[in-house]
Amino acid sequence: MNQSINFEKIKSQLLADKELLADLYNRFDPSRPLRDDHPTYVNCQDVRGDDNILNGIGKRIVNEDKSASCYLYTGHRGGGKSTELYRLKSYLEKNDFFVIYLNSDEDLDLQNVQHTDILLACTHRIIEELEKRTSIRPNALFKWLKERGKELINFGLSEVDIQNLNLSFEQQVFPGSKIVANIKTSPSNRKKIREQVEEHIIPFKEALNEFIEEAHQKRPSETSKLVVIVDNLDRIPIVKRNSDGSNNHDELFIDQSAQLKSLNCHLIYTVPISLVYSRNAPNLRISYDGNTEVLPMIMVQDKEGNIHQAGIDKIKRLIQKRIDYAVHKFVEEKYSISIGNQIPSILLLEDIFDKTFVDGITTLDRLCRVTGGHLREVMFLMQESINFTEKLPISRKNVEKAIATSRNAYENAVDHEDWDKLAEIANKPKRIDNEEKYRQLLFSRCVLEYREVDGKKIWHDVHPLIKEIDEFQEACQRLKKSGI
Amino acid sequence: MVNLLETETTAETYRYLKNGLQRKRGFGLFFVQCSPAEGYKIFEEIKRDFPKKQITILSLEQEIDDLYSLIAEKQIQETISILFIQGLEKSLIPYLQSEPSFQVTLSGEKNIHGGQGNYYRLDTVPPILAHLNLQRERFRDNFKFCLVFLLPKFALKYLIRRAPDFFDWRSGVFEFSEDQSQMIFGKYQEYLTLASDERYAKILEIKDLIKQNLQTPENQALLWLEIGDLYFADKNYVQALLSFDQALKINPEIYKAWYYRGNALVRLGRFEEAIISYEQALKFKHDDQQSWFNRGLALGNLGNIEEEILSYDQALKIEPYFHKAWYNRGVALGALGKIEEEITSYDEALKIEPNYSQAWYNKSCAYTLQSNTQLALKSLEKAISLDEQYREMAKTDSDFDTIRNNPAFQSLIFNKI
Repeated sequence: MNQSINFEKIKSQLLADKELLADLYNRFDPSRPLRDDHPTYVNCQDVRGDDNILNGIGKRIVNEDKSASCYLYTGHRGGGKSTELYRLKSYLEKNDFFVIYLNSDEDLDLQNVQHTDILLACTHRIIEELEKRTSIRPNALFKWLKERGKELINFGLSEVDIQNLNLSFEQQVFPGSKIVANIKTSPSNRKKIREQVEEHIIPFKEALNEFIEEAHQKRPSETSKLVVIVDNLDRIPIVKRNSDGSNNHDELFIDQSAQLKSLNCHLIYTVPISLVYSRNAPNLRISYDGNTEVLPMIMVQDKEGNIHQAGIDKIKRLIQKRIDYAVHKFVEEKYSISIGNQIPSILLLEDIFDKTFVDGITTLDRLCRVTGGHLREVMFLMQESINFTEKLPISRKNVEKAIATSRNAYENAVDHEDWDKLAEIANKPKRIDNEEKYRQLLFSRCVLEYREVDGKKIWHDVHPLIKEIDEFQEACQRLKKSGI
Repeated sequence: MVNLLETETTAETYRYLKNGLQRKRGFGLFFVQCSPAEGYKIFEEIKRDFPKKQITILSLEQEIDDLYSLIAEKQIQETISILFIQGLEKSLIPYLQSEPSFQVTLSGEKNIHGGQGNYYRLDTVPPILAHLNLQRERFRDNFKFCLVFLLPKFALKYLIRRAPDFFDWRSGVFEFSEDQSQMIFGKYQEYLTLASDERYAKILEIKDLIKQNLQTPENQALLWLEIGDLYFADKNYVQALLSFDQALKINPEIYKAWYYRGNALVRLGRFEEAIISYEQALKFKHDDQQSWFNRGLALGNLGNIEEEILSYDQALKIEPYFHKAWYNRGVALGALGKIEEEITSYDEALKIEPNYSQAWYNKSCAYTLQSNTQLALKSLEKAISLDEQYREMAKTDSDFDTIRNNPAFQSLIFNKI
């Protein structure tokens, strides 16, 4: 640390610096999920239901003496799922597991996806990773492929690919990436491949599991086992199938659950949050291991509506860390010194935000509360308020403007019929039923899911931004009048 | 142009957009809600304000399902630091729902369920939105510049609902759209003259009549229509809507009820449902110019301007002397930046109604944009002579900025004629 710089002195310079303002603006970019090893990462387990992903999934995989299991993981869009999955991955790897992370939108056409596509994508990634890191060859799968004979032409493979299958085992190249690419991009091949796999699904699964079994046995450490994380399946767009409210998510994850868990390894699928509240949700409990783990929002207020200070503080910490990161980098570059990340904050939140109370609340507290504990909302509001700002500190007016912009986006996502439902959720026992009408609201984040600090009790509440919209308040009035 | 909201807020919104584009490094997603003409103006202005940046526009002329490749191609041809994208709505229009659906409630009763959620259909995803939603990583990782989407309101709403993951990576949303609040007229003139308590007395009277159950179903439906009209005159649009629904439950073929229902929905700001309702009216009476006209208004409020104009054209095919339709058509063409046609449309309106002051005023704005100062001043003079309020309006209307210092303009605005 370079002592020649008096940080107190440069503070006022920093607050007026336009370049730093731009740095801060870019630091709250909602399109970049954090890795858990990033300096700005903040562990939120103590304010979001006590770390359910490690307890509910991670520890069970590690502790239970099984070589295969299948878990579902979900949470609101932009709530930090991917970051948590990276964390789960490092945790499992530390415990000697062989983890394969599959980003499904790279390998699948999520607009038109079915269970066989997912199985093939997993197969491809498992083979690729195992071949990269071990000497295990997918002989059983080569055999299955060769048995398809003439049909292989319909897999979108070239003559050369097919001839390669007849080489000696050492020289064979598994055309997994080609098959996966063909399913993704060529509708006619996709249809043919699906037909073939479905028709010969049992030998296919046997071959795949034989390969996995071999991998399990040959891995150097006996405890090592295979885990496949399939992320982003929650991005499959909902398509309603018929008037009873069932949709393509139900078809894939409930009707085809037996296929999805047919691999003899540990599997974790990220699914849409609305699935958990499907009418068929009880089937999920039967079909998959454990409960579907939902990543809850950071609790900024409790069920009764009292402020939960620990949650608010966590969000402040998160903002402070990102500001520190930007400020430190900026100071290092501008003054050509190396200060590292170990020194205390140069600009405090009190410097960044206007401190005056309006309506009994400071600018920063107002911002934290209205996010509802949703991380991407924190990013949006910070990004927008900085964008409105020409010189720090950020004024209350600019934060309110940012809030209005976010509120507008929510207003545009609510159907007229939904206002009464939302009023009911906010005023009633705050736990939603497995009913179709609530699913869309969870999916669009109008209703958020929370979990008590002990991780046990779950409840739902309407997004704080929505509570400020006139139509919502009118609906609450109507509800009151109707005597409930 | 007649536009009450055009104050410094537009300038402010522009400044925020500029801030964002200036500060954003690498990939950024900006959504701008505006009309096509405004969009082009914003593009030009940004180009002027960032002379050193490579700013370019991608105008989509037809339906597409793959935006990524189009941008990737453009990226090969030229260096880009900000890319404007206009016309995405053309890929959404074919997927808007136009049929109302009937939802059967638990009691077995049929309810009209023409909700917005239905307008932006749930049984299918427009391919372009699915594409954006699923390809967002590729956009982020391969385009190291800002994308600015110029969109009408309905397209933005569709995107929020059906490409939520893409929208979730935004750097900002900027609304430039003016609220089109042109009036709607129905056949309730006489009720307008009643006092509020008189209206309610009449409503009770009719409800009693219905309760007696002596009426044929056809008549009952018409009575509900009457009740709806009374509520409408009393500005109680929620009750009006419910009454029209009652009428339609009894007889879903009364086109007037669909039409009135549309009007109530417009007043409630529920334009998507209004459009569906007007279309239903047109199913039963295809040559109802009023339904075509109001459908146009509702479409305009969602920024679907091409369709709006087509709707006025239909109204004018039926009733060529419909001067308000000519006028609105002109305003819409102006929003598309088609000034020549805009003026022709006002001229048609003025042929029918020579004292149409609003049309004279807007014509003057249009001439100013064409730099035709002489005709602009002549039209403005005419507008002011018909209605003094236009003198005040012209004092602050930015449409006249280019001729503001012209002595003739000055004397027209500040001296009595």
